[in-house]
Amino acid sequence: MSAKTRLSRRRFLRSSAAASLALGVGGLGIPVVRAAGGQVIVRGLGGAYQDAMTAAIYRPFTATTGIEVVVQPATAAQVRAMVEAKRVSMDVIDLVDVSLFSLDNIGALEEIDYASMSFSNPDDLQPTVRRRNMAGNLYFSTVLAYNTEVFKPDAHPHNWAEFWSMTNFPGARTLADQRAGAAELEFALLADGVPRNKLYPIDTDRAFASLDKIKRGVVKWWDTGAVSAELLERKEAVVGGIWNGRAQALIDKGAPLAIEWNEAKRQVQYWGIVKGAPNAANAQKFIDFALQPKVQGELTRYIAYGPTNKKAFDFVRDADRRKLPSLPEHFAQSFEQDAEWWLSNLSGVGRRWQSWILSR
Amino acid sequence: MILSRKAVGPWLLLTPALLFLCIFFVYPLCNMLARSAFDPAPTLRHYTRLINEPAYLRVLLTTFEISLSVTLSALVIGYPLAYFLSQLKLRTANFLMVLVIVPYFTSVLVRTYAWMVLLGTEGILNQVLLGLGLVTRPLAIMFSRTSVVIGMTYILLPYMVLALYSVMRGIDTHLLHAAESLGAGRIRAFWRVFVPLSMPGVAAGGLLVAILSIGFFITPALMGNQQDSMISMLIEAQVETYFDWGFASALASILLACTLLLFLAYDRMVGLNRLFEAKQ
Repeated sequence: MSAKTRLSRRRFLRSSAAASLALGVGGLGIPVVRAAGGQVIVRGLGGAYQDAMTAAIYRPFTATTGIEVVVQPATAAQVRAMVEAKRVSMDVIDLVDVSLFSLDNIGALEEIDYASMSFSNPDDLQPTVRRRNMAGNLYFSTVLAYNTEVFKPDAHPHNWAEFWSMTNFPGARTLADQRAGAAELEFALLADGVPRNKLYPIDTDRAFASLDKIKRGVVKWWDTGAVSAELLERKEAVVGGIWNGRAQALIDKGAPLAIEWNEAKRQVQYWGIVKGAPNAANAQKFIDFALQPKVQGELTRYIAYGPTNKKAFDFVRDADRRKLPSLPEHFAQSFEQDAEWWLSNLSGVGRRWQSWILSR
Repeated sequence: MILSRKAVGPWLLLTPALLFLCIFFVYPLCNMLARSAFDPAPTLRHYTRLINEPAYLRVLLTTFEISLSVTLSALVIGYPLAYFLSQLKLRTANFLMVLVIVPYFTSVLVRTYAWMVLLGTEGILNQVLLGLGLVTRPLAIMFSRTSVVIGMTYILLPYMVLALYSVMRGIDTHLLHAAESLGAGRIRAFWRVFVPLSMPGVAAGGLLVAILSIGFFITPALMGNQQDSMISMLIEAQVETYFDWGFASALASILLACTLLLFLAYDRMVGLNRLFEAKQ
């Protein structure tokens, strides 16, 4: 073999190594080319929820502003890793209150610019969900959902005390794991006889002692909405505490389930902007757009979660209104999770939950 | 000049692979080890936390128990199957071997979900048992240690069968005939001659399945419950939910150490090179 071909082969190797390295970097999802009208990268949650968001928010936003919405799945841990490595490839995140609080605790969130909002009037928002670094996206509830083939309408568990009673209402249960956002300490207290207005500050000893009593009845502690729905749909559990939107989606599909709104727990799903977001200005605009009454009202046509903007109810259809956590009748029967309590007790409860859930 | 080129050549060819390994494996691994002892300052608290908390020690114990159960179940199912295959004509055996390997081409996730459907309260198994009147209420198999062991055994069985089969194929059948001509019955010849000769396969398959199962995640996470958490599930929870990456790194380092110990045992008893061979 001549020296020349060897040389050229070596050069080929060198250049192909460089090329493969370049390809590798491109393949890692680091944005190389940006859309002309700009873009905003939003965390997608998949399933029926993402479909609803696309129809009610993403598409109208692009149509109005010309900004492309790029939907990307991401977990809270991935967002944290991005912020730590200072290589952020996500603008807007959409997370359950407690999970977003823990991201905020480590300084992963940008401030929300309420002053510059033009689509929404920040004063129309429920005051409790208007926070410095996050804005309430929607209300959801954890409700008592039961199988109607197992429990007749007049003989189903009506509250958490009855849910806790394995003798009167036998059958496998499912409840949220701490990993779903927050463990069901409130339900445990209600089951133990604590009145709804005396839940906070939570007596954790009493709550865990109450959880001990239901532990054997819980077939699986769910960590994602999808898992909770599968358990009830496949009848692995015949009664459970699950998110109302998931339960409603199953009922709309024809599953033999019903929702008991009594003692439901209201929670908030929040919007936040990742610190160091590549399209921070567009992210502010996106959240501004998403919070306006018409958009929030429109969203309820696709998924049964309630608006945080007080004016949004003007845009909600009557048929959808009765499925929402914020319906006045449901509101009166349910209670709001005290996010502040969870915010300051998150790590303590997290540790205790872990050793509790791992033991028999 | 030529000599040095000869020496450099192989290394040049290795460069992309080495670079890849260094960037995507060695560097993150060192990072992880460092995090387990330096998060946020030099500390051993992530390791002491594991020792001081009975719940975490139990996770470690559960991990070993499940991986032992899976290994034994795979051996009990895999041994007769591999023996049967090893006695067939090569052509037939090769064809049947394809059937053993085909499940590999399906994602672990899909296969796990398939078992969840089969074993569920409304699943086929319970339908059959109820239909035959063997049980009056559906058995609660799902979300227990039993369902995890069933699912993992199914997924890891091909490794066991392949390891056993490759050794059994190499066993000289004349030895069995010799034993029989010297007066041993077929059963006795099998136990005294075939089984001892197949032991390298048992060791290889057993260690391979044990190594793969102690780090298993998808199947135990989907088919199990939290009381039977394996260490990989605990690591994932620290990373995803509790943001305690120091503790997660400590747990992962311990898992790594356990895996390396098993590998060491494998190397001693079987030889690592056997991992990459098809036949003896």
